[in-house]
Amino acid sequence: MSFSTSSNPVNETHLWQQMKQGSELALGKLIKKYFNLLQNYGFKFVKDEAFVKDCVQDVFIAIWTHRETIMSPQSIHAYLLSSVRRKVLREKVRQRLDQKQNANTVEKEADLLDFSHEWLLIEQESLNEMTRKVSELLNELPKRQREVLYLRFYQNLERAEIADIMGINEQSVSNHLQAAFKNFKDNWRQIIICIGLFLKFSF
Amino acid sequence: MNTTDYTKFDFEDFAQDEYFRKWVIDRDVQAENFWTTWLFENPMFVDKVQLAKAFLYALEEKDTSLDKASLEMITDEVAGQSIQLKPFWQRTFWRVAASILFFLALGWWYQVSSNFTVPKKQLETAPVFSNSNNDFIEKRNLDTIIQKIILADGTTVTLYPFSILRYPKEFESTKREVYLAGKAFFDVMKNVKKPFWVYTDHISTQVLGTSFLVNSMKNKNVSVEVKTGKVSVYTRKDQERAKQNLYKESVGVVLTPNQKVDYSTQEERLLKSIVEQPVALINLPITDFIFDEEPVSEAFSLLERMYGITVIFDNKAMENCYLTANLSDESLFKKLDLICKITHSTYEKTDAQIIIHSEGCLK
Repeated sequence: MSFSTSSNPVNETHLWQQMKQGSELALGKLIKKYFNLLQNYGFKFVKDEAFVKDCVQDVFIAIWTHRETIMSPQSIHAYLLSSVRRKVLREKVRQRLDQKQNANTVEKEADLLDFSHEWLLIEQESLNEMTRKVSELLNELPKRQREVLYLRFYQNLERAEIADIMGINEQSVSNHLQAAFKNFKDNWRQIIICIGLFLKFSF
Repeated sequence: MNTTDYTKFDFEDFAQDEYFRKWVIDRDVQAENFWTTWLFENPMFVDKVQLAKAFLYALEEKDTSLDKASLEMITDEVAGQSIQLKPFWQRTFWRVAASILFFLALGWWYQVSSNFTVPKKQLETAPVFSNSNNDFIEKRNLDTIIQKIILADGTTVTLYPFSILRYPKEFESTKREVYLAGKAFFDVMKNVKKPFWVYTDHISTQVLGTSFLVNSMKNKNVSVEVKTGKVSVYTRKDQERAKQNLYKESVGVVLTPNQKVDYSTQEERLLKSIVEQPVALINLPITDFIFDEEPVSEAFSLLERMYGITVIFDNKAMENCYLTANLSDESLFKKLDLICKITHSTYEKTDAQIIIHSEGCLK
């Protein structure tokens, strides 16, 4: 059984270097590896798939255009995420300005939207139910805690990387994580018990 | 084999496990098989696994993933836009134009009916590849069906019957050169740093786009036709001269969609013109073609955009010319006929451009 080496930093750096030297193959590999993850992140801020896709694509275009002078980040994953974050928020402000809305209404801070209930994908009913419950729990958390959780678990980033992206220090990341987890842990046992009964019948 | 002991895992360990994530986030089939089996063997972990899964799904919210083919298309688009960042809102056009495909049709008719003889002389005039070990490959398609060849850089060449392709095993560091006698379809891997050259007996074609068809048949005249994309064509002679004199300026002819070039063997020069049947390069809504008392200049600019061909006219002379017509059907030339008829003008084709002659319209 083969294991993915997605977190192999040597491999990554090598890929980045090749991309910098103009290799379209390397560019393609980076896109294949990160595009979907980046889209998912962008979608957290703006619930518009086409808009987010364009933003992510723009980030790659900017990188490709400036590939010769661009730096080589420590973590490519974190670098891309923070680029997408900036891009999405900036474009969103611009879009709102275009709609002649008052610029002041745009929150400066990352405007992480609520976790919605689109579970079309998840077919299994128990999982469905459980996901809905978890999502409810997540929505009770403050925005920043939610984002930290997302970056830590969904994007699988280290604390330092999360700190970089969100522009906070590492200690704050730890604090947010701890707080979010405490909040969460108090509740998930209940979820298991609650859904557990249901599972016995459905399996 | 996966040797991790998952029986010591708690919910958050699963959520962070790479192979678990491969299943849940990447929707990997192999990983799914593994986990389904594992769960079947370890049923007491169903709760934890389900929760970890639900947790990741809740964080994900929505699967916005694109499939492999879409990601490849995006790569092409990104790579194709390396020169300048386009404003965010002008993207649609580029999406449409992204599928770059162009045709080269080089003349030379091979007498297919007569015995196929390898044009030795032609191949001898092929550039000497500077690969020190002279390592190149010659593919001759003497069969009646097409042959697919993949070059070292990933470029695919579809070689037609009675054609020969010669190419180095490894391309040089600065350019990619192949030599063709006959007909072939090239799907070129874009690489700005290593231009792709197709040499034929009299002319050389530099590829600035992604895919194109070279159709070189044995005939007196050689021609190159471009459907979409961009190529530049040089006569071999000019190229030699340019090399010797170290011209700063290029002596080639750049072809854009719907343009073609003819090479006259007698005059040894290239003549640029419009292809016989220009095709629309972009899809425009039908309402764009309906003109209701609108300045004729708008119709011309529509045609320019649609076919990528320059229309030259005297704006001053035609400022009173208005057009009421439906231009949605017909070819470019039929459209021009119609416009000219209405506005009492004529047109001519010069150097792959359209020039309108008009005496103006009455107020």
